[in-house]
This record gives sequence, C-alpha cells and structure tokens, in this order.
Amino acid sequence: MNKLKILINKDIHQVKNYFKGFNKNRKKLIPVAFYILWFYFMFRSQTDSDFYSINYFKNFSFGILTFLLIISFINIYFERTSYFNMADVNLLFTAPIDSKLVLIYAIFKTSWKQMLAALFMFMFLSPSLINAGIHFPQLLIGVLAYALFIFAIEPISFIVGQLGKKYDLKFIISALVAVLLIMISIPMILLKSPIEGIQSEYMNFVPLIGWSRGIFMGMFQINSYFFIYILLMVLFIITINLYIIKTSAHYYEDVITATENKEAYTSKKKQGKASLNIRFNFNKDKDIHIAGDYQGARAFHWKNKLKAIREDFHYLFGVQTLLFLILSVGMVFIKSYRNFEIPYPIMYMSATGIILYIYTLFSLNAGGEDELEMHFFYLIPENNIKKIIALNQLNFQRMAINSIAFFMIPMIIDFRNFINYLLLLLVFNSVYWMVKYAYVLVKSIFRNETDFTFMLPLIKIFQLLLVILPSIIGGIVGAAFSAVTRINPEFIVLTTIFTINLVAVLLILVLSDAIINRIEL
Amino acid sequence: MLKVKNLTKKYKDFVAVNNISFTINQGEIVGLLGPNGAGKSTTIKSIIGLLRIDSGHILINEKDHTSIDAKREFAYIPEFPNLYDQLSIWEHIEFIAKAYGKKDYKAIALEYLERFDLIDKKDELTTELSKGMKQKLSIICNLVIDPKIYFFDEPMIGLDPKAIKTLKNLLVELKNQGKAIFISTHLLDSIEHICDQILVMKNGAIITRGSLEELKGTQEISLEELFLQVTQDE
Repeated sequence: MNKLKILINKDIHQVKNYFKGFNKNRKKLIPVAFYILWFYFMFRSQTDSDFYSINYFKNFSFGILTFLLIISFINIYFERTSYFNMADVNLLFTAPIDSKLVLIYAIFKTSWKQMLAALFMFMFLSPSLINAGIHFPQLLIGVLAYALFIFAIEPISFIVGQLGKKYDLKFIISALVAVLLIMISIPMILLKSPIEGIQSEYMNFVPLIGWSRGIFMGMFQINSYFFIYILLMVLFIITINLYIIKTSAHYYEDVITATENKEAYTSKKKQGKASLNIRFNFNKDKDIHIAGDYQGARAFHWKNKLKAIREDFHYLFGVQTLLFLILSVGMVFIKSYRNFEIPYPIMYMSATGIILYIYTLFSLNAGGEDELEMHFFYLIPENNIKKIIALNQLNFQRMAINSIAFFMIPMIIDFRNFINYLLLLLVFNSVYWMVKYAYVLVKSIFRNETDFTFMLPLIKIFQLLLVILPSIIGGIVGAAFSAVTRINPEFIVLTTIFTINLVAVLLILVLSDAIINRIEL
Repeated sequence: MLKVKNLTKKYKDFVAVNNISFTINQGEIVGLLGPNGAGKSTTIKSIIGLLRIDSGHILINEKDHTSIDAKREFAYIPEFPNLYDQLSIWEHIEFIAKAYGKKDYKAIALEYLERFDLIDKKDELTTELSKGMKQKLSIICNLVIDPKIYFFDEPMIGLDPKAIKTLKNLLVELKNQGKAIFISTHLLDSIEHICDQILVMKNGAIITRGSLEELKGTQEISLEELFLQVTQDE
C-alpha cells in the first residue's frame, strides 16, 4: 500500500507541475483557449436536424470502436504500445517496487488517461447527441460504453505485445484481425447488405466492439441485452486483468523497446513531425544504380530517386498511381452501372476536392519534409532555391503522373470537357505544390521547437489556410465574374486558383533564400 | 581558419552564448569544454549557421559563416546522428559526396569504413544499425567531404572504445594534414593529450582558455581535475 502511495504521489506531483507549467509558459494556454473557442462554436452551431438519426449513431459508434481497435493493433505491430515512459524504465523499474504493482497501476493510469480523452471527445460529440434528443444522464451511458471498451483493449494490447515476444507477432495480429473481420462480416452476409449488417442487432454480438456498441446505444433505449453487454464487458475486463497479474512477473525487458519507440513517436507527433508515409520497400535488398551525374543540390533528387526505386515499382510511379487509376475507373464504372445523373466534370471536381482535402489533412498531421529537420539540408553548400527545387522535384513529377492517371479517363470519354479536366489537373498539382511549400513557410515563421510544441493546432490551421486560401479567392472571383460575364464559371474558378497557387509558389521559391535562412534547427 | 568575434546568441531573454571571441588556426585542435547547459552546442550550431546569431562576426576561412562558400570549408558531426532511414551506409556516403561535389571519394570512403568496422555493413539500411554505428557513419560522411575545418559536437557518445581510439588517431592525422578541429566533449581524458588549445565555457561565456600547459601552470593535475577546479571557482 505504501508503494502504491509512492506511485500515486509521483503522478500527483506530475499533474501539479503540468498545471504549474501554464503559469511559467503562457504559450501553453493558446491551444487550451483554442479548444475552448472551438467547443463554444461547436455548441453554438448545433441545429435541429434529422441528420442525426439512431442509425447514424449506430454507424458512427461502430466505426469509431473498430477504428480504435485497429489503431491499437497497429500500435502493437510497430511496438509503440507501452504503459511506461523512459523515466519509468530508468527510475521505476530499478526501484524496489513489485513489478506487478507497477504494471497494474500503469494499466489503470493509462486507462484513465484514455477516459479523459474520451470525455473530451464526448464534449465535442454532445451537441450532435443533444440534437438527437439525448440529455445528460443518457450521455453518461455513452461514456460508460467507451470506458469499458478502453479498459478492455488496454490489457489486450499488453497481452498481445507480450505474446509477440514469444511467438510470431505478425501471425497473432493477423489472426485477431481475421477473426474480427469474420465476425463483422457474418451479419453483413446474413442481411446481404454491409450497411444493414452494421446497423443490425446481430452486430452487437461481436465481442468488445459489438458489446460496447450495444451499451452505447443504451443512450437511446435500454433493453435486457444492455445489461448482458455490460456484464460481458465487466467479466472480460476482470478475467484479462487476472490473467496479467498471474502471468506477468518479469516483463521489464519486454516493454523497453516499445517504450523507446512510443517515446520517440510521441515526441515526433508533438512537434508535428510524425510521418504517415506508408512504405512498401519493394526493392529493399536490390542493388540500385542510378545513371547520371547528380552533383550539388541535385544530390537530393538522386537520393529521392533512390528511395522511390527502393520503395515502389518505379521512381516515377507506383502504388499511388495505381490507386488513382483504380479510383478513376471505379468512378466511371459506378456512374455507368448505377446510371448516376451527375455530370462527369462535377463528379471529378468533387473527387478532386475530397482527395486534396484528405491529402492536406494527412500532410498537416504528418508535418512536412523530414529533410527540413536535418542539418544536411542547411549545410550542403548550394543555393537554397536549387536545394528546395531538387528536394521536391521528384514528388512533383510523381504527383503529376498520378494526376494524369486519374484524369486521363474522363479526358478521353468526356472529350468535350477536356479543358476543364486539364485545368483540374493543373489545380490538383498546384495545390500539392502549395501543401509542400506552405510547410517550408510555416517552419520559417514558427521557428523553434517551443513554438511547434505549444502552438501546433494554430500552426496547422495557418498552414491549412495557406493551402486553401487560393481556392476560396478562386471561388469568389469565379462567382463575381460569372455574374457579369458569359464565361464558364468553372473555367474562371480553376484558372484563378491555379494562377494564385502558381504565383504563391514562385514567390516562395524566389524568397526561399530568406525564408530558409530564418529556420533554426 | 575560424575567427569568432563577439558572438552572442539569445533564446528570447535567455543569453545562451554571451559575447565570446576566439580563433582556430590551421593544424590546430581546439577543445570546447563546459558543464551541461554551458552553451557549447549552441556555439557550434551558431558558427555553422544552424542557429542565427544575435550579434558578432564569424569567418570560416575568411568567408562569412553562412555563405555557401563557407559551407564548402567545414564539416559538422552532431551529437545525435540524424540519418535517412531508407538509405544504406554506402548510399549515405554517395549522397554526401555528390552533394559536396566530391568525385574521387570511393577509395577513401572504403578505407574509413574499414577503419570503423562498418565495411561488412555498407549495404545495410540505417534502420538496421545501432546508435554507435550510426554515429560512425555520421563521422565517415563528414570525413569523405575532406573539408578544411571540422566541428565535432560530442562525437564520442555511443562509440565503442575501439572506435573512440580510431577517432582519436584520426583527429591527430587530420591535424597533421593541416585541418582545423573544433571539438566539444565531456570525455575529457579522450582529448587531453591531443588538444592544442582548450576553451572552457560556463553560462554562455568562455571562462578560461589556453593550452593545457598554460592552464595547468605548475599544478600536477589532470584535465578533469582542472576542469572541475575551473568550473567550480566561477
């Protein structure tokens, strides 16, 4: 009991110091203020809408729970799941405290941290729930559902991680995912519809995801199954924790790598540097030779080519190109098969918007070029403009080819709108250029790591604004011109966006010497 | 070779490096010592242009330290080796050689790989290397550049004893070739007998400087004892 008190006191001190930190560094208050404002506007913007039906929440909760489970599997796979930090490894693991006590306390603490995150999420979700007729006591049922789910998956992560040290981790995770997919697909197959399958009561029988969803939907209606789901979850949590206490006495060595990985990943994430690039490494062991002389700044292009060849089919195209092509073929196929009345240009314009939106969000989360975090980039004796061009040259070439793969089909089958597709292609690429260069600009404005750590949400919004501002201006100009002229508004909007992006990119390039000289490592 | 005059670097109100001046000549090894937080890494990063200076003048081989021409004259070995995950050891060397426009680098690179026991791993990706191996690679990449001045920031952290010895021998060889070397380290005994000049920093300022003999005076003490004496007195 005394030892537990020591652990609790340590954390109380840490929490106290965290809040004291706000006083020492006022910048920490900026994101807090930002979240409060965001929450306020979320609440203000609630409307009476039929959009939030019971089925909406069934789909939503199923999606969120599945997503969380998959994320926890991914984290186990990359050995990033750990209840500890490096300070625990260095100080707590060497201290004369029972390792089981350390573990159980850590699991409990992590679960509560997750709970706080869940409460935060529910705060954001609450306007939609209130719109759907859910009030405070019922909201607690939602929180309970999420809490039980988190208290269940945290120990699972630990056990799977431990088993992965003895047996093949890939196999264990694949087997778990396979079992999960089979169970999820049964209601879909029975009802011959994925959507109806997700919304059906059968789905609630799927362990963890289904049980938690069953409890979550108790917000709307409580039936006898609701209590059964709670009982199942509680029994599961007790069993799995008892198993851990019984089996895990000597786990310190097993968790060190995961703790190091988690710490490195968290630190990168906090600074907006965590990379989301999925690498395939098709030619990992191939001896690659690139012909030609790549001296000076062009060495960056050489290096990128080398990486691209190692990771993909070809240095100019690869998995992404294939995905763009499949998406385009799929769109044309669905339009013909289902007799959609939406014209091709509108369809492709919407798809372009969605792809760019997703891409921008992903790149915002991923930070920017790893290169800008490395001293090589700044020290290599070359002109900054040349360096920045060489750094992005291959990215731009690859994206140009991806976009051609995407737009060539409508260009052929809907030839009369060729100019519109061509403009869309140019806009697509120019927004991509802006995504890349906006990060360089942001890095030079918010120069040090303190800025990046504390003001990340605001920095990301600024970066997003830089990228989407030309599109907003394009929309306004297009609307204004189409009101007074007979010129096709799409033509005006797309041309304006492309021109503004082009000018902005050229401006950043011309000023890159001054911009890059502002960046500090 | 290196002239630093009245260098000051601030982080907001905090003065990390306070008005320091020194010079390093050709064929000279200068050790930069100081307790944690003394401003050693900030000094090096400011000289090589990774940090912007608030005041002062820095010339590397008579060229402004931020100019491209100056960058051709120096190499920097950081404390923590930042390398590319997806490049092999040899590809890193190739990349750096290309970036610095070095054509005849292969023979010398192979020799360094041999000396640092990395020759068998030259085709392995850096993700497969230990921290010490990464540090060795970081050193080799910079040796391949063959610059006139080297900046080492804690280069021996993570290296095994053999690699430390190899590096020490290399430092002497480079000095004999007329290269200037500026090295910051906490492993005092490893540089005690090779430094021509020692700068001791504390709280952003140089508190003592001179050759080991000058600093010791008539005292029969080691560099470590001298360092503790000097930094405690302040």
